[in-house]
Amino acid sequence: MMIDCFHCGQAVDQHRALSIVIDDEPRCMCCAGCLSVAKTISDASLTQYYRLRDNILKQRARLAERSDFSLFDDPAFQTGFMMTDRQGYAEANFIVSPIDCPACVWLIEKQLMKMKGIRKCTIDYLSGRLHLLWEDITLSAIAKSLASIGYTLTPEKPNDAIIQSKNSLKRATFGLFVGILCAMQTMMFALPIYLDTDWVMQSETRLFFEAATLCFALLAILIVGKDWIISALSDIRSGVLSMNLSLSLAILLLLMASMFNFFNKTGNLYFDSVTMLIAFVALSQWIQARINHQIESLRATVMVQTLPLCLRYIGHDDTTEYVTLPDIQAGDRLNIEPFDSLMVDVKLLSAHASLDEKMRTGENLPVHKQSGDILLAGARNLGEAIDVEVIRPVDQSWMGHVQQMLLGMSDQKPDIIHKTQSIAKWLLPLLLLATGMTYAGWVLAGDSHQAWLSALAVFVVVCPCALALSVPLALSATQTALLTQGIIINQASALETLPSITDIAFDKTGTLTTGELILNTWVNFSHYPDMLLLALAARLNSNSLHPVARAFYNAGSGHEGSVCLDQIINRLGKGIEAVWHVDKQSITVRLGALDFVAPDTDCRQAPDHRNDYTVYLGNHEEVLAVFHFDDPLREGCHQMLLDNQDKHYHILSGDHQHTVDMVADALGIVDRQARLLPEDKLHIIQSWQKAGKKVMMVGDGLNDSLVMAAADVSVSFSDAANLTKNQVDILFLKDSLSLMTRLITQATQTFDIIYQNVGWAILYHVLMLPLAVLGYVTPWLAGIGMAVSSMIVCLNSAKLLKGNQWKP
Amino acid sequence: MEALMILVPISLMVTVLIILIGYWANRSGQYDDIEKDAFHSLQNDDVVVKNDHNN
Repeated sequence: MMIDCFHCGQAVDQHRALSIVIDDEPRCMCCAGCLSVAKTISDASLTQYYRLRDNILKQRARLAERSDFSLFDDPAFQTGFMMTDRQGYAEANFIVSPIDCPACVWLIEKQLMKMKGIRKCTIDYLSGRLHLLWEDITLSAIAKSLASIGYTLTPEKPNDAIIQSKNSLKRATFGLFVGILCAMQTMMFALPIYLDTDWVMQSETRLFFEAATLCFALLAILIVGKDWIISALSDIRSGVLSMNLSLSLAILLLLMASMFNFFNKTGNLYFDSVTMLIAFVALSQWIQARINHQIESLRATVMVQTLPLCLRYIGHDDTTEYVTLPDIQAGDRLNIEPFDSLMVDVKLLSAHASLDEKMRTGENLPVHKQSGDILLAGARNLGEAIDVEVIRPVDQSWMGHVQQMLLGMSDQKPDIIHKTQSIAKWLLPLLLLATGMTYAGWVLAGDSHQAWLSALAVFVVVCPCALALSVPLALSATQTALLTQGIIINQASALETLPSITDIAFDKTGTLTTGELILNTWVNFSHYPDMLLLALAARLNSNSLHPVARAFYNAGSGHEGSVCLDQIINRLGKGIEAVWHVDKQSITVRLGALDFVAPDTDCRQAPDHRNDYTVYLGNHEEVLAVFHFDDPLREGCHQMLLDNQDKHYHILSGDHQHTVDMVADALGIVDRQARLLPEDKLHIIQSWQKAGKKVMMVGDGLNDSLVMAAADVSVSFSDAANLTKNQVDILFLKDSLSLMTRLITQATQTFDIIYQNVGWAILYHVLMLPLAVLGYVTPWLAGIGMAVSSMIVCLNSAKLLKGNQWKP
Repeated sequence: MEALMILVPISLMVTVLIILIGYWANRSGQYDDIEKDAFHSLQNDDVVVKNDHNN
């Protein structure tokens, strides 16, 4: 007979099970490991853990039982994220939350293993991403099964950008493979012909070799060049003169001229030039496709796009159903679980709530709300599950309003790619004009044979391959170099503006400081040992999501086992209360503000001059200890200021004046403004821009989105709000502002290289054009010249690839 | 010349064969991530569950 292990729940044969007495009852264990852990828990008098665990599991099972998961089986909903793999299994990615530790991964794995129909599941611990393959089982059953053990399944949208970049990379890889192979084979057969200057080779052998080069050139055009020709035809239909058109014309003209000479046995053949040209362009396209795919892959890791779901109450009882955001209407009642974020504006129905509004207000500490308070979208629930009533649906919510304003502000910035495209648009008619005039000139001079050769040479010389490569290759190289440093460039146009930036404005919270509190100093007024009090404070906070709790945990973790607490109560807005069993006594202890901890004492410790976060520990009559916390400066702040002394620095913050002053004084930033609303920041930035300044805005909250969209360049960090990360020009993956120096230096170097590339390309055209017109340059020599000039541009751009490897 | 009559078409056919192999390799995803395998042994493996209940 199989029974469940009391500790881990795994099925075990009753006859093989080990046994231990817990709470005066014999309990079965599956293995020596579980037995050992259970004995440790029992010996430490912590068997209440098992009661707590069972209660939580029962609560979760009840929540799963009273929730309707039928949305997961709705075909219209499934089309947004579900695919079918090659073997016909249903396939999708999900974000599972909350995954706190590797044990969560183990538990989810075990739960899914029990279900028939699950073919494969891959769980990424860091991102919480679950890749699932299944058949003959409904998705609602899977979601319900995970909900019964306390995990929420949120479908992840397929990332169109990454699918597109992957397909482009595949096409470019195959193009490069064929292009290089055909170029090598063509050169292998063309070389003996070049070396046979005395015409000693048998004419049949020469013909055979020439026919081979023709075959390889045709192969390269049919497999690789056809995409460019199709694209050029599409551009002609759209009335656009593109680089694809000039490239296709050059390839086809060289091919036709060579075929004419081959079949008429007159003049030179340029099949090798055709394949070399295709190979070079294929190489540049592969480099760009690879870099683009790397960037999209990293961006997909940083910015997970999910199909957010909400739990809506059905009727007036506590039964809930999963609904998508657009289905939520004003008046709906929602259940918001711990850690979940609000997607719509709501009114609080529960008695109390503790919310993290950092993404909206920039304020680091949680705010406490009472029943009836209005909660705006973007806030995150840090306390128990709460009930709310929707007052504005998603499109009319605060977040929807910000998104609409951001849409109106996009595409207002210069784009260097468009500039080069417009230059190319002008160059193509000039190219055709120069070719036509050369042909006409030689025909008028009476040499129609030379007219054809010179026209062809002019066409190849003027073909702006090097010019077309000069900007994209430099930008691709610099994007790769910055990516290896931990910087993602979302908008290449920002690189153009960076060298001319005059002012850098910071939002204080989360940009100049880390936003993670640390225990700076503390004073022990009691007779208890320091470590015991620190462990007591950490233990009191063990179930709290407050930033102060995390700081206590980091300072006092590892010793909580020595503290025995009972009746832990979280008094929202005040602090935490518990009964502490110490020295054979039971003392009621409190952690929080002085008025809550020891209201009758006047032991007010002046906050440390470097911080404004102070927490007291007491027993209602006297203060046992006082703790001072600090929000430390982000790494690299001082280095950034030292390295870029020519810039003007500003702090535009929504925080209190004294908080802003402390950070500004620590960094020596003179211009600081506090208590600003997003609209105030926007007006300040716009007034600077009107005065001719180029402004960079560094921020991380939703409240900064408008200002960042208005700034000439915007920078944010990987822990910023998703909306901000999507909108921002530049994203730092490392929490260090020393990246700023690297970014500005790299941008300056990039434009130096671009100007060098463009200068070289123009110089090449200016020097070679008269020679080609006058007949001093043959088409094959022009082909080699074009390849060499493109190669110089490639090598010059490759200089930007210097840099240290970024390690996540 | 006789040798070339055989060798040149063979080289052409071999090139076409290599292109076909390259097409298959590229299509089957063998070039999707050319750096991952080198680092694979240094990274923690994902948890992969293969459920054989119905197999």
